[in-house]
Amino acid sequence: MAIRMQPIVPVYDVAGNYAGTLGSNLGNAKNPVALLERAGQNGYRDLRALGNVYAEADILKDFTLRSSFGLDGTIAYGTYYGIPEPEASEPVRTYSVRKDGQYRYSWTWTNTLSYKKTLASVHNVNAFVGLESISAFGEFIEGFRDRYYSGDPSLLYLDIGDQATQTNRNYAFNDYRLFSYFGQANYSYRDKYLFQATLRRDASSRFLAAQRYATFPAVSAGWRITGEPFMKGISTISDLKLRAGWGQTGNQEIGDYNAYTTYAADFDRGGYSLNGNPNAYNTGFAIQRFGNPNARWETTTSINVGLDAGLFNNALEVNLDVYERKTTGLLYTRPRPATVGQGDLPAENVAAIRNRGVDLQVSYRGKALDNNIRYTVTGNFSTYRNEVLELNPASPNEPLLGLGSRLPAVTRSVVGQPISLFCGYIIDGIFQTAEEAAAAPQFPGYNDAEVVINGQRVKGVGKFKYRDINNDGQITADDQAFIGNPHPKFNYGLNVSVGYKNFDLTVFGQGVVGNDVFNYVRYWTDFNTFQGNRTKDVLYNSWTPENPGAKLPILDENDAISSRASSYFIEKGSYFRMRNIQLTYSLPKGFGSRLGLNGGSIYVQTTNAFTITNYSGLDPEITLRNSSATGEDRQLGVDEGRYPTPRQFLVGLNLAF
Amino acid sequence: MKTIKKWGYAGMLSVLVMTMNGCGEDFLTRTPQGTFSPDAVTDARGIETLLTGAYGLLDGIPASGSTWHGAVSNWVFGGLTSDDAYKGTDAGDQPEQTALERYVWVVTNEHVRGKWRTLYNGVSRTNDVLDNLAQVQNLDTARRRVITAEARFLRGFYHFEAKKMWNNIPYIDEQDYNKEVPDSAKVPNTENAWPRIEADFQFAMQNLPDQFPGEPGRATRWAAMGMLAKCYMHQAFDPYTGAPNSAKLQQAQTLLNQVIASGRFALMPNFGDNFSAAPANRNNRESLFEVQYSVTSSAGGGGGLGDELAWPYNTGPGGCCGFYQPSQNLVNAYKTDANGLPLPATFNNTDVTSDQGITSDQPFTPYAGTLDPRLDHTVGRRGIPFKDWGVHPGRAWIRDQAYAGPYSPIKHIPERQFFGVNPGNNRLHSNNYRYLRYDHILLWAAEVEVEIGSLAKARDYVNQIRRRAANPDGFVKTAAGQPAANYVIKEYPATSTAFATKEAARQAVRFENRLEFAMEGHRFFELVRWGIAEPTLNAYLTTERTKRTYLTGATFVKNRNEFFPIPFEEILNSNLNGRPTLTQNQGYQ
Repeated sequence: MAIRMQPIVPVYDVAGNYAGTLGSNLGNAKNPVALLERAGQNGYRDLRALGNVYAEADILKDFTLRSSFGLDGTIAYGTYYGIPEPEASEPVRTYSVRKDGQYRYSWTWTNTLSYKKTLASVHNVNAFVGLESISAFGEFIEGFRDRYYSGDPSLLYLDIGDQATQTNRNYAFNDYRLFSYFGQANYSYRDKYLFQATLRRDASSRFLAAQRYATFPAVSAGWRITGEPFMKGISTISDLKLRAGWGQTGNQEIGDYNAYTTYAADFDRGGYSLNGNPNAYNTGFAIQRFGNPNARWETTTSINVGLDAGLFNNALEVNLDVYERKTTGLLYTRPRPATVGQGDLPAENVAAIRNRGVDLQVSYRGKALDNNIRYTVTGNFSTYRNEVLELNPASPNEPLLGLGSRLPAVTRSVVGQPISLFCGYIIDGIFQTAEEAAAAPQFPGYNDAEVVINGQRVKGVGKFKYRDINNDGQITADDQAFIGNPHPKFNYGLNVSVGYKNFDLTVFGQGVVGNDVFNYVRYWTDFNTFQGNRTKDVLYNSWTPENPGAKLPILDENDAISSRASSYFIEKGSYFRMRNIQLTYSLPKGFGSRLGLNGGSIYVQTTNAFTITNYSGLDPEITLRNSSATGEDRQLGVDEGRYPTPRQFLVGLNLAF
Repeated sequence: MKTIKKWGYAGMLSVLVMTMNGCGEDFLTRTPQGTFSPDAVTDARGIETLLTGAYGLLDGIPASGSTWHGAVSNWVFGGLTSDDAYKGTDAGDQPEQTALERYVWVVTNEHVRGKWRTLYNGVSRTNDVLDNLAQVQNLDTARRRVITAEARFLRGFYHFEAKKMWNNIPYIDEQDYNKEVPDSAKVPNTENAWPRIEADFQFAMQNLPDQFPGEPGRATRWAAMGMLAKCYMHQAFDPYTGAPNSAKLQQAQTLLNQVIASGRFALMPNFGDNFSAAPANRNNRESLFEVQYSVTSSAGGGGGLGDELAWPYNTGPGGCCGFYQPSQNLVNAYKTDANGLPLPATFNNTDVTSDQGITSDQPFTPYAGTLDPRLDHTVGRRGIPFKDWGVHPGRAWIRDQAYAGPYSPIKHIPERQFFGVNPGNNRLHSNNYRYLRYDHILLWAAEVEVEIGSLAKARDYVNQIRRRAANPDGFVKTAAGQPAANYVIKEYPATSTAFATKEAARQAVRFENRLEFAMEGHRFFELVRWGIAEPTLNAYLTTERTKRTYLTGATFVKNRNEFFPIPFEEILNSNLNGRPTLTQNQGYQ
C-alpha cells in the first residue's frame, strides 16, 4: 500500500483525521498508517501443549525395545475488527467483528527395537528396526457480524452485531495419517571404514490404497583415510575422510484430499434463486476440487560424494560435496483447460527434474597477537544446475505454466531447460520515428496506434520495439521467448568471528550471484495500470523527442500493451546481504557468584545491516507467494512486492544461574 | 526393576502387535471431511441440487476470480465495445477494458479469458448433471425428462453466449465430458456449433413445461423457444457482409409468431418496469427468461456482483466505481423530431447539451429539445431524477468527467429502497437481468418482416414498442410530478417514409432496437449480427474521439474485431498429444 499510495496524499488531513484517496484520480490504495492503526486491535492467541512419553526395555543382551508417544496440540482464538475508512476511495463503511477458533493436534507413536554390539573391540555394529504412526487433524470455526452500533471495544462481541449479517464457517484444514516401517544398520571398523544402510517403507493417507506405499532405500560408506597407517607420517593432515552415498527419499506434500473430487454447496459457487426470492437462494452443488486418484509418491534419488579434511591440527577444515539429485514423479499442479470446469486442481506426477551441484565450505580457526586475539573465518560456496528431464510424455511439447495473476503466467517450464524460466517478449529499444515503426513487424493495436507528439498525430513513435522471434512480420503471442532464469549461478556466505579477551565479534554475510528477478512490482509502478504511486522513471525516463534514450515508452493513457510480460521486467538479482553483526561481552568468571550467577553475557546485534545489489525492487531476497503450497517453484524469482526483510537492532543479556 | 522391565516387555510387544494391526487400510484412509463426495449427486435430491448449481452460473459469477469478467449483463463485451458506452471511471483503472474499448484485443486479455472460463464452467456443470443423471435411481420418468431438458437449455445457453463472443468454439456434450479426465474436455473449435446449440434448445422446447409454478427462475418451454429464435436471428445475416439468410429468417419467424400468438406475454405498461427491483416487476409478464439476482445480508456472492464496478461514483448510488458511462452518441440517439420520431440519419450531427465541464455547484439547465422518454431510463444525467435516488447532481457522481464524460449508467441500478442489503458489498442487489423479453420478440419479428414479410407488419411491431414507451405514466418525473424533460415520442404513421422501403425500414427497426435495449450489453453483438459493426463503429469513433481524446487512434478492424480472440492460455492448455486442440480466430494469429 505504501508503494501504491500516491505521494501527494498526506497521512493526516487538516482536521487531523486520516487522509486518503477519496478525491478524484487518486487510485484505490489505502492509507498505510491508518491500516496499521486500525489493525492494531486485531489479535490472536494460542495455547499449545507438547509432550512426549516413552518406555524403554533392555530385553535381551544388546537389544533395546523402545516405545515413544508424542502429542502436539494447539487451540487458538482470534479476533479481527472491521473499522470504517471514510477517507478511502473504496472504503469499508461499517464496524464488524470476526472471531475465529481452531484446534489441531498431531500424535506420533514410534516403536523401535535396536541392537548395539562391539566385537573384538574393533567391529562396531548397531542396527534398529521400527514402526511409526502419525496422525494429525485440525478444524477451524469462524463467526462474523457486521453493522455494529459503534466502535466501542466493549460492544465488539458477536452477540450484539446485526444478526441479519451473521455468517459462519467451519471446515477441517489438516487431516492426514502416515505409517512407516523402517530399519537401519551401521557398521564401522576401527572407526576407519564406515557403512550405513537404511530401508524404509512409508504409507500416506494422501494417496489411495494402490499407490499408498513406497519403499526408500539408502546406502552410504565412509573411509577415514587418516586412520590408515600410511598417513601416520603426514602431520599437516590431521583429518581426512571420504564419503559416498546413494539414497531415495519421498515427498507427499500435496494436501490431504488430493485424491478426491468433492462438491461444495455455498451460495457463491452454486446457489441460485429458482423460486425468484430476491433475498434468498436455493442451494446448488458445484465442484469444489478435482481429485487425482492416481497420484503417487514423488521420489528423489540422490548420489553424493564428499570429502572432509582437517589440516594443521584441524585449524583449517574443508568440506566438499558433489551431488546429483534426480526427482521422478514430481508432484505439481498442472493447469487444466477451462472447458473441464472450475475447481481446485490436484497435484499430479508430471515431471522428472535433475539438480546437480557442488557445496564447499572452508573454515580456518586461529589465534594472533600472542593468543590475545582468536578468530574463525568460514566461507561457503554452493552452486547447482537444474534441468527438466521429462514432462507429460503424451504431450512433450506442452510447457508447464506458472501461476497467472494480473499478467498471465510469467514462468514456463520445458524439457531440457531449468524449471520455471521467465517467459515474455524481448524489447529491442524504442521506436524513434514513424518510419521506423512502420517498417518494423506490426503489433496490431500497438505500434499502429496513434499518439500525439507536439500536436502531430503519428503512429508507433516512442513505443517499445518488440522482437519478432519467429520472423513472421507480426508481433504475436508466439513471439514470447525465455527472457530470464531465476536460478543463481552460485550462492556464497562468509562468517567471521574475532575474539579479544571477553569480547567477541561475529559477522555473517551471504550472497547470490547470477540469477534474474521478474520485477512484477513494476507492472504497478511503471505502467498505466491502476492509479497509484509511480516511480520517478515514469516522470523522468519516459520517451519524449527530447529524451530518445529513455527506458520507458512514451506516456500514453491508451497503452495497454507496454505492461505485458517482457524483458523490461527482468533484472539482475545478485546481492550480498550482511545478515548479522553481533558483539558480545562475556561477564568475567566469578562475577556475581554470590548472587548465584554462573556466567553470563551482554550483546548488541544487528540483523540485515545492509545489502549490496543493483536490483531496483524492495528486496532482492524474493519471498514466495505461498511457500507452503505445492508447485511453489512455479513462481521462483517473481517479485510480487512482498514485505521486505526487516532490519533489526537487538541488545541482549544472558545470565546463567 | 526386574518386574518393571518384564511388564514393559510384555506391554510393548502388545503395543507392536497393535501398531501392526492398527495400521491397516482403516488407519490410512482419510476421506474428505466437510464436503460432498460425488456419490451425493447421484440420488434424486442430489441431482436436483446439481441442476441448481448449473443454473447458478447464469449470472456469470464464478466461484473465484474477477467477477466482472463473466457478468451475464455483458457490460464489458457488449457495452463498452459498442457505441453505447465508454469504459468510464478514469484512465488508469482496468486498463484491459480500455484495450477492449479501443479494439486492441490481445490474446492474453484477462477479461476475455475470464468470460471463457465462466461460460465453460457453466457448460461443464450442465454436462455433469447429464452425466450423473443416468446413474440416478428413484426418479420418475417425467421429472427425469424435464431435468434433461433444463440441463440442455442451460448447456445451449452457455454455448450460445460463447458462440456470440468467439464464433469458433468447442461444443462439449456429456458424451465428451468426464470430470475425472481433464483431456475429455479438449474438444476442437473447428466445427460450426450452431446445429448442436439449436438441438439443445429444440429438445428443451419440446420437453419443458409452460411454467414452473412458484419457480420463475427455471427455464420454460417459452424461454427455450425464445432462445432458439435468438439463435436463428444470430444467423439471419452474414456478420461480415450483412447479407440476409432467408432460411434462418423463416425459421425464426415461425417461432416468433408462435410466441406472439400464444398471448402469454405482453409489454409491461411502463418501460422502466423492466429495470426495477420491485417484487411486482421481477419475473413480470414481459419476461421470457430472466436471470435471477438475489442478495442476502450475509452471503457475499450473486446478485449483480458482476456489475459492481458499473455504478455512479462518490456520493452517487453505491459510491463506486464509476465504470460503464453512456456515450454522447447514445444520448444523441434519443433526440426526436417535431413528430416524435427518431433521427437515424442525423441524430449525431449536434449534441444533446450536457454539464460537461461544469461542476455540481455551478448552475446548469438540462437540454430543452425533444427527447425519447426512454433516454432517462437508460442514461443517468444531470438535472434528471435518478430512479428514487434523487436528482442526478452531475459531476459529483462522476469519477473523471474530462476523461469519460458526464453520464452515468442507470438501467441495472436498483431503486434505493432495495439497495444496501449486504453490508459487506452494498452494490449487490436483486434487480434481475431480463435476458429475454417480449420486446426482443417483437423487434426480432419486425426484423424478419422487413426481410421476408410485410413492411406494414414490421411497422406495427415497432409501433407496439413505441406505444408503450410513449405511455406518459412511464415518463421519468420531477418531484412535482411533471415530465423531467421535453419528452415527445410518437408511433410511425402509415404514411411514414421510414417504412416505405426495405432499406429505410431495416434502419428504423435497428434504430428502435438500440433505443429499447441500450446499456443492456447487447449492442456490440447486435451490430456484428447485422454485419454492420465495422462501418457503424468506425463512424462512431471518428466523431467520438473529438469528445473523448483517448479514443484517438482506435479502429475497429474488419475480419478481426467481429469476434474476440480465443484466450492464449486456453490454447496452451488445450494441448493433446503435443498439439493444441483449439485454433485461434482469424486476425489474431
